[in-house]
Amino acid sequence: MTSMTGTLPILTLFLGRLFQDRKVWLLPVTAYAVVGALALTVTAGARSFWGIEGDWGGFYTLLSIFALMLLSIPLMGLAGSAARLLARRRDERLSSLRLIGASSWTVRSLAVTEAAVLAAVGLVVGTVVYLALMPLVGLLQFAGRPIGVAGMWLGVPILLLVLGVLMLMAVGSSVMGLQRIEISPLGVRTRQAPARAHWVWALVAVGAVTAAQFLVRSTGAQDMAMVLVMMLIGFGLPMLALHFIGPWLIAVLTRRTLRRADTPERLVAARSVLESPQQAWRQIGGVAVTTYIGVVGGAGMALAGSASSTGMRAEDMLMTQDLRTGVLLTMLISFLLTACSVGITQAAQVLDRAELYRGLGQLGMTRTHLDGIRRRAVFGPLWIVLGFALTAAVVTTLPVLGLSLVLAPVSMLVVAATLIGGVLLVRGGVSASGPTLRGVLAEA
Amino acid sequence: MTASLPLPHRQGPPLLSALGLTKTYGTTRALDGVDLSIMPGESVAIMGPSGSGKTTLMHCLSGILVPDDGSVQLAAPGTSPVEITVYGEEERARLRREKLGFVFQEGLLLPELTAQENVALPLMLSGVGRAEAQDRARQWLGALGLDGMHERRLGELSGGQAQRVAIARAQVAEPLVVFADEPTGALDSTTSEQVLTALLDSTTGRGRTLVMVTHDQATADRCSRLVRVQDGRIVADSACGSRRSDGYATAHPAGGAR
Repeated sequence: MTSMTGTLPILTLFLGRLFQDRKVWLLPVTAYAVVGALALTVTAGARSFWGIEGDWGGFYTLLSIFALMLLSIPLMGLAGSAARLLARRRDERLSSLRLIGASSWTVRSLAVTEAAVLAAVGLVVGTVVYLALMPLVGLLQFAGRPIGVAGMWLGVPILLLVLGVLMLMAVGSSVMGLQRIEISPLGVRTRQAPARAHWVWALVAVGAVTAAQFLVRSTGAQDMAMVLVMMLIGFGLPMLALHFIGPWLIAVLTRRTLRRADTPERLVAARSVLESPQQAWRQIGGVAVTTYIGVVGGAGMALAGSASSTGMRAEDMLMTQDLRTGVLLTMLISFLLTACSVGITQAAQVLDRAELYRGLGQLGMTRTHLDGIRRRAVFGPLWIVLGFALTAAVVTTLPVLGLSLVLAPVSMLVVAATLIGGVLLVRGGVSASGPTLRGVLAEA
Repeated sequence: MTASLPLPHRQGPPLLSALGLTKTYGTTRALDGVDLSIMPGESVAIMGPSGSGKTTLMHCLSGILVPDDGSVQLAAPGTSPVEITVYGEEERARLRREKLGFVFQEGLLLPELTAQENVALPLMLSGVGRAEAQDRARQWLGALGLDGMHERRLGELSGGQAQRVAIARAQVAEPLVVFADEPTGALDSTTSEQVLTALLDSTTGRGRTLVMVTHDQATADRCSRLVRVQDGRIVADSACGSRRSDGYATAHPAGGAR
């Protein structure tokens, strides 16, 4: 109780000054605004399919749930990056507070409350961005008509649910981040054996299933519930397998790169990836499945469109076209989410390693060297993941892909262009953290 | 207590010479017309209270910072001096990689790299092949008493060992001058003594030049010269009492001065 009463004035004092230093709030708030805007827009886009009527209405609903499930992986990756950014410890301040007698409870409460406030502000900004984007995204055409602003409106309950999940992730990540460090008056240090966080993923999975059930029931699509559960099982098991295979594959192939690395950039980048292949996978693994489905689905739809357009009903043709658009859009959005996640993670890493980077700059390592290392550390795993997805696509659907290339080359060019556009987005994500690095090096 | 000895008669051109260095941060004048010449083979300790301008002086001498006014010339033996203050950012970075070495208080090693890779990094940045760079790095680690530790990461090294890796990194490219900023500031007294000996042996012990910023009088006393800075000016410049006069080669992989 004593510590509770002592905590309040400290919280009031620091929260009142939270927004005075741009360096403290700008990056976390921006990150969470991006997360909020994209999560709401993607959910709203998927939700808009549920109002489509006609013979294919139910099919559209199923497809939208499938797309949402596919995008949930990079979306979780992005939200996780932003949450980890919020949970970054600010050692000096935390240990100074301990030094002047603040209890561990006070210091931890302050860190969690600050993270929550920054996330909340970010989510408010993100909601405004989502609202502002509604007319633009509403121009997308499905089932022969634009989604429209009304179609993009999520409704208050679902909007609050999405924001609530994101807020929980922010607070949860902050609490877990604090569990891994010891704050003493002499400084802050990481515990030797970091707390394992596997149970969190189980919680997230349960939450996702519950949320999906809630979404289905709240929109009156109860008959879809069983199909949804089947899809979750059918889709979830391979995803679980991929969760283990992905990091392993990245580690094996990066070790080969390390052995052959003949430049400092290649050497340091390979070592960085091998420090935590799981982290590399979390950051870019989301594009593996969407790329596979984008290429296979894109090829299949291209073939279907070119082969049977003459004997098809107008409604069927429209559905085929929509399916192709949806597949490519899902792939592009997954890259966009990954690019944002890369940008946030890279910026956070530069801030974490500011002193080291400044020291390396003094040794004579230029910004070009450091940018090269950061770019390779992202693109090394990305090429591995894309190579894996494309090989899997070729191996599993070689005849379809081959026929599509011959019969519908233009459609396949569109698939390739989407893929290239996605890679460029990730490149943009790395570049977006360039100004943070410039700022850090300029402080030398 | 520092022995306030006059500087010995110095022959030949200086290796590093600064003239009229001035540097201002906002309204604070960190350097106020500093002149300083450093001869080859000297070990120069720069001392002064916090905010006196000693680190700024070292940064200007090493091309990390460009002074607002004044010049810094570096002259490798047998070559004509180069004016480093007129160099652009890229040229200064190259100069630091190829001609100068640095040791920081916190070591600033890349935690994901092994000791050997950390030491090899400056050579690789200068275009030396990885195999040769790592070979030379291993020799330097051995010379500094870190035999068999070349595959260890930062987290597997003690503070003193990590600092010796940093010294090896500073030396591996055979720099003209090694700059050290509080190199023993984060170490206990015994380790500090060992690291300082390793640093001196591997630099001035081989006829190379060392410029070191320090707060510690005992550390400064191990150098051949002490420069005191206050309010951006040099207020004292004298020889130290305990200048090393023993031979070279205690910490060089090739076993002798070059």
